[in-house]
Amino acid sequence: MVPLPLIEFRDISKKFGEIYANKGICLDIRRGEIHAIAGENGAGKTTLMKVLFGRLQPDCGSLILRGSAVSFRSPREAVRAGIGMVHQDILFFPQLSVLENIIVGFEPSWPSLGGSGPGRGFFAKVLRTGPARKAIGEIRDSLGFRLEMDRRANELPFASRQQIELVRMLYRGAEILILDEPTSLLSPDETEKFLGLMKSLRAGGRTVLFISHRLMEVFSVADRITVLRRGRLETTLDAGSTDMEEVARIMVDGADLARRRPDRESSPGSLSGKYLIDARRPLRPSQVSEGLVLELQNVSSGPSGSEPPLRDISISIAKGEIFGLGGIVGNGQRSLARILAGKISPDSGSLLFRGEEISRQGIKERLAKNIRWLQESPLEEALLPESSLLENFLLGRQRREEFARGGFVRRQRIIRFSEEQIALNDIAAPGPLAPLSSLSGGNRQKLALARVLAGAPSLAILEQPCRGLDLRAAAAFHGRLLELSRKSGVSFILISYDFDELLSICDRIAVIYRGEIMGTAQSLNLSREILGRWAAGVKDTHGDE
Amino acid sequence: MIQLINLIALLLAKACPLLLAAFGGLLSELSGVINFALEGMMLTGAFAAVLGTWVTGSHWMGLLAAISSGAMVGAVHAGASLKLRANQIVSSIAVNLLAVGLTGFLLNQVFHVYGTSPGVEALPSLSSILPQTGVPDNLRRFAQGTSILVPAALAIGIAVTAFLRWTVPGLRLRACGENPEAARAAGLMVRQTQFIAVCTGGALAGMGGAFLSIGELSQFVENITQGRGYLAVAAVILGRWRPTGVFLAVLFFGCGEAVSEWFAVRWPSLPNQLFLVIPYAACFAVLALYTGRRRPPSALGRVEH
Amino acid sequence: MEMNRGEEKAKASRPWRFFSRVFQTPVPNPLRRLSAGFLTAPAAGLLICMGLALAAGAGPIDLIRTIWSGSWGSAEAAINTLTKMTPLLCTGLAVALAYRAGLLNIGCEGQLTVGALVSACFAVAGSRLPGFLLLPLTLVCGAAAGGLWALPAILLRQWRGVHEVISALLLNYMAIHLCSYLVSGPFGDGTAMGRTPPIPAWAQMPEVWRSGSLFFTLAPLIALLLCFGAWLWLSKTLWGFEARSAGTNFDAAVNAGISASRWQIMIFLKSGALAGLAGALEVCAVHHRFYRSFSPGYGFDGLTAAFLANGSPQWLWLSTAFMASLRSADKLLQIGLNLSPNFILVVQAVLLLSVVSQGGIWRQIDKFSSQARRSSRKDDSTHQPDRAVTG
Repeated sequence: MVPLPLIEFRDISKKFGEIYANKGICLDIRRGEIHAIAGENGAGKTTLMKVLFGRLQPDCGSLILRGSAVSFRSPREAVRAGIGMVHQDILFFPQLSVLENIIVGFEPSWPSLGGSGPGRGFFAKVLRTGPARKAIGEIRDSLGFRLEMDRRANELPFASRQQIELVRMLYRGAEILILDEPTSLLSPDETEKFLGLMKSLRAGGRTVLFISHRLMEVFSVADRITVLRRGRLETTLDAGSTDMEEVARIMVDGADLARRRPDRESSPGSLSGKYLIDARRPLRPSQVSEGLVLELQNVSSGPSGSEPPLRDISISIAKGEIFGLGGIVGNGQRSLARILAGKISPDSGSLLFRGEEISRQGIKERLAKNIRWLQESPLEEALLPESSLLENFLLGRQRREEFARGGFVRRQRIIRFSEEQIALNDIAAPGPLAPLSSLSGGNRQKLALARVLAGAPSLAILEQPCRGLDLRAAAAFHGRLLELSRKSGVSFILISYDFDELLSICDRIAVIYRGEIMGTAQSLNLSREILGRWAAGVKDTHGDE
Repeated sequence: MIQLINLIALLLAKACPLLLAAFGGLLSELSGVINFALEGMMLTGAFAAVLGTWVTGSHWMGLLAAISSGAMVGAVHAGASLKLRANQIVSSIAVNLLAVGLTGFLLNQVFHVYGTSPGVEALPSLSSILPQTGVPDNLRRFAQGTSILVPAALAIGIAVTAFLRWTVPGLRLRACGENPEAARAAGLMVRQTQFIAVCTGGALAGMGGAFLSIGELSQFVENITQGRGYLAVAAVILGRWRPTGVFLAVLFFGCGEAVSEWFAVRWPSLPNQLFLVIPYAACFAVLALYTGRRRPPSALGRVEH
Repeated sequence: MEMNRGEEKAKASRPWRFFSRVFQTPVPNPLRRLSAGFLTAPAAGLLICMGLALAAGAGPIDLIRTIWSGSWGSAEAAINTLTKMTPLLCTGLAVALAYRAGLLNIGCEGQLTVGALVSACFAVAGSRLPGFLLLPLTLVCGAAAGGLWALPAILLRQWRGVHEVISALLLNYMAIHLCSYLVSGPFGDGTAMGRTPPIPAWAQMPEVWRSGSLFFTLAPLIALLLCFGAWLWLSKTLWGFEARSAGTNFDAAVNAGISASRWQIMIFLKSGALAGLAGALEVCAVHHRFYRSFSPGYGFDGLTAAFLANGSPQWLWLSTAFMASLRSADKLLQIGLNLSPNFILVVQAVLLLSVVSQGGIWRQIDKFSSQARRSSRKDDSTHQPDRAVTG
């Protein structure tokens, strides 16, 4: 007899605007299993989990927990029911101490009227940090974490912030743990540890929902795997009775298509079949000799934000080259991109653009040299959310002769330009006069990309360009990238945390670790494993430079 | 000696309304709601204190009226900025305008006067709780010139500090101001917490207003606060959102006001307006010169969707 | 304790069941679009104010009639209103301009006062200058003084991160006290009235029309032209675009090669200069001297007008006309209906509140109506599990 499932999703649907993020999801979770939810970006994994955690309310359908129907209107109720979630966008309180971060909402207090628990303790009860410290210390030690409880959370590195959230969930006695892409920002070494941690949580009788699109990790821990695709549940499989190839095919093509074409070859180097183009080929010597576009010599800078200082970075990029910069998040990529774009200037070292020293020039001068930059989160850093598409296209080009004459903006020209770009980049928009806020996230990303690529820049610095793009758009973008680099001689610096993407598209790849370049090599000579080692800070002899 | 005692009494009298208002503002800002509406809360409190005393004949009822009207103004600001997601700064300014207009309007409607209300009984001085005998002269003199609200204000300041540092709701309030999303995910009632924080802040500011009207004086004068609410906001900024810092800033501004009044008494031949500038100029100068390391609450002014 | 959420929910949704019958559909689109303009908010605000006036014993019809006759009912009143409109147009434009660049200039009151005092003093001191030079120079001086008075506030924002509202308010109080001291002392006319000597006749704005004590100058025209220019500049030129970008998304502007903080400083200075110009125009065209408590609240009136016009210079004429009507009717309100002049302030505050929260009001209505629809749908479907338990 099949035991009663711990959680049942019954016909859950959730719509954002006109698009279904989840449609008719029916899913059972068994007690004490690690249940992986796999799927591409935007398949609706996070939405489904947020519904379970009460951060979103489903439009229809019901949730059944331990045999009775529940509807969580807020995370409060979910927490009370024993569910905990470690979010992808880590939720923490920057200026509170680690201890306070963990106990908030579940504080031991005096007098303990009605017990402590979420939502209780409205009256001014006194915090008792002593017992909390002890309990947290035990959990922390059992997980093997090193967390100083009196440090402020914003002083900690990323991995520790994630640890805070995990300890918080366990401290609250969560039985069901939702882990939303917990490894996406960890180094391979840390990932290994984390996966071991998940197994020990299962051994402790907890149920784990593990969301990931990394099949390697999924297969190393999961008991069962559910695949979501475009908001629908494709299938649920036992991990023992399937393999990565099958799951990868289902993620990309759906269960029906995958079954019909079981012999479809997935391209090498892209395990999940995510990147359909394999463009790796060495640059011809003639291309290299055509001249270096950009040369960084011993560039160093101080720490910025949560990122370490950059130390002696030397890279050179040839005309028409796609240069990949990999590494775990927060190892200095952001600072390096800002130095390249001219937002911050390096403390020492030189930047040569076609032989000219530009390290003291600002963004404006570099834009004039047609060096363009796609920021990591364009909505915050590059777009005008309240304004029309037209003005968004104009931004960054407003000083160009073709768009402004005698100080007056040439509206007709911009409208034409916007219309062209909207058509060229397949942006789903009513027209150039529509406000940006009417566009979906993916289309905003397309717009930001279009703005960078329009008119063939001489050098483009792209931070996470595929973020928020669906597969087709990502493939189209990669095609465009190749075309621009090969035909128009545009050089690219592609910053990505996804080694598969880098391997499939870049000519050369460098990996940055704690502000240092660990290695640079032709991507044909590289593999995921080598990149992984570099990203973890292990230097070896594979680099050819 | 007498000079010194008078000066200390004056300093305390000037600092206490600011202290109450600034700690009210601190509560609100730490919960994540920008509160430039302290001016309006104080003004309403000052008027309500006189009105309450005048209607009931008891200054304690007046004080109660001040506290509750301050909380009500806080509720208007909180409602507009949390429920209706208005720009919190503009909402604050609107609330301040409303307070100026409404107090003036009601002054005319209720008392049929312009500018200054009829006198009411003020709150007792500290000497009313001193024993009749066995008190040194200097202390008695000090007590006579000091309102009973002074120790109350100091106690409230300490209480708020302790509340924020060591209690459960205090921690939750700070959590809401740090990251409302995370606070919601941690199971807190963010909106309610913020609402209560702003209303409590309003109540404290209202009490500060009562200090001005029935503590220091015994009547309401149109626009009696004279920008003290803004000074209180500046004190919160200058104190870098930390209770001890705010306390020091308030003392400094109190000094400024005391000095300005003391000068005016000392040199009556010089025009009064010159001294009136002192507190504002001092505040401005300190804002320009001082930088703290500590940052404002991370989610200040951001309303969770 | 376990809680029966189902029962609680049923209780909560009961009012909305009733609501859903009345409000089956969401709010229709044209109505929403109308609300996005500046019609609904004043209407809602005015209704509240009428209620207040009614409580004070003034009927709504009387109120409207009084305001109308006090502001536009006679030639005298209309000229008075137009005269009041001039400084409002300037301060309103000052606030709107700064707002579009992402700043809130609440210091207009102080900037106006300083601008007025400096222009009056300049006109008195420079009475040797010929007329064609003195008047423009006086206006420029006032504007420059206003701009300079705004400078510390914006610098404090850029250097120290102190919000410009706080520093500007402190500057307001400093300006008012300082100017009040200056006219009763060094720059006074020797009387105890607290005013400067009158400015020479050739520094006064030429009158285009005069009848008895009523006169009318070019000043409103200058203000209107400034609004038109600001509209043109903001929406048609690349500089306006850059300044607006700095206001909508500072980081994006910086990343697009725009010196966003320089634009903000520039715009704030211009904003201060406009407020200073408002003061200078008042001196040159209306009062011909500076006196103590010069501004009857033009700074805050301008703020309200700017928000009523949604920060668009092209609609300022309408919103300032409205605010000026209220201002010029205040005497009549006091005499005729026994409403204190503070009533105008209340109206203004309520309007401001309703304008800034109007988006939220509509969101609430939408939420209610969609909730109502959902609950009515739930009532129909009986197969849904009715009892929901958590815990």
